[in-house]
Amino acid sequence: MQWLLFFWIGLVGFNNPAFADALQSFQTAAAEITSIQADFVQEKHLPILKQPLISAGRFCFRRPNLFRWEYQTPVQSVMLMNPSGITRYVFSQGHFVKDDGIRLEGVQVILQQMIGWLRGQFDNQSDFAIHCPRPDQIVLSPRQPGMAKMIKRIELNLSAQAGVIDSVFIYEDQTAYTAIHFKQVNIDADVPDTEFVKP
Amino acid sequence: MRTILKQIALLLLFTTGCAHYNLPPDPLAVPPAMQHGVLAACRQIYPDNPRQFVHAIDITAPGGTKSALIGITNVFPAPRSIHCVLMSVEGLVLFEAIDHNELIIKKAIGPFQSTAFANAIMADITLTYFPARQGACRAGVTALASAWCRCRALETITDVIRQTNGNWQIDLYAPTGRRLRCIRGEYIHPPLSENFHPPDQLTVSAAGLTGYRLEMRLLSTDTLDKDTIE
Repeated sequence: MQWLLFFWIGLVGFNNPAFADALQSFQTAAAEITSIQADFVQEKHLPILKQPLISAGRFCFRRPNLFRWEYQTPVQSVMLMNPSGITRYVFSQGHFVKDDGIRLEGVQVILQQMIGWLRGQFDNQSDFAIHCPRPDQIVLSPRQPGMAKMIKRIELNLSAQAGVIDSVFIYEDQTAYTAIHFKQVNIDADVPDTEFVKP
Repeated sequence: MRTILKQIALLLLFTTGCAHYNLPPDPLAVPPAMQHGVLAACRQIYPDNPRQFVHAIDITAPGGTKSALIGITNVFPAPRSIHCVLMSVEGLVLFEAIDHNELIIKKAIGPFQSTAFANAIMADITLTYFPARQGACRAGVTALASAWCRCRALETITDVIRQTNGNWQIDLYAPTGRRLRCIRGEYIHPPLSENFHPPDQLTVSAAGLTGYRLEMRLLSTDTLDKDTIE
């Protein structure tokens, strides 16, 4: 009987007007934000790891489509997204060099999704199906089997601050996931162009 | 004169790292009473208990393209088993494999999908963390008094050189004498004990047209509770 209970809860969660209102509120607030800057701490959880791998960095977004995702420890790298595409730079031998050895479609898909979230765009017809199990959480599940091999689902935990995401959990499977916690969130501040060019 | 030139050549070999491409002459032999000590010094670069290593890896591929990855390696010396993961800096797992009597690839994405890649990475890990499996080993010293152990097997020759500051080098040669791999382990601070101590920096250089270079900075290391891969 438990499977029936879970199915009912899931169905009610998705169709619950209160949860739909919460998603709409988030989307409306996010659409008004012109820029976001924040620090983050990322925890990588894998069965092989004796303890989670901790990374730290920061990101900034400037509407409509400029994005910087930077790791500061333990590896220095900068990923820039602009109308030209996505470019990653890694710090090697004292300076940043372009990392063009490995194309990572999975990473690029997540980045493009993140820009959509920052704009408040959640389109249930896109590559991800959207589900709201509770008012402060949005769950995205890939529609394409190819993507589902890399990412099983993404959970966005919403902040009490309108239009802001507290944390993101990216599940590769039940035991392998990445948790990103945001802090020092700064909204609508001026973000200089220098943040979005080669470091 | 020839002895002086030979000593200069050996000096250049060990001060310029992996610059020597062909098998140098056998090391100067040490007296029988010293052989055990020299072999033990060479053996100390290998872990003797199950351990995990997490590295930040800078890759220079053929053609000079550069990439960055994070590597997680669990080694189990007794069964000579390996469990390794490569992931992007963002945390996306790109490759996962276990070598426990047979190679099993659990996950491989994009350029990491080839069996040749899997075999190559396992061979590099084996060369780095497990001593030569078979063959007689000759104990000697370099002109700079570094311990030098040469182990000859049917298809390969493995040299281990352990400098007095703890830094070490593993060279793998084909029977023809052509060097196939060079692995260097370097310490920020010389290890104080005679037990295994993982180097702060590993550099793996693979020769040939498809050669590559990995510069691996140690992020963390842990002992593992289990003796074998599950």
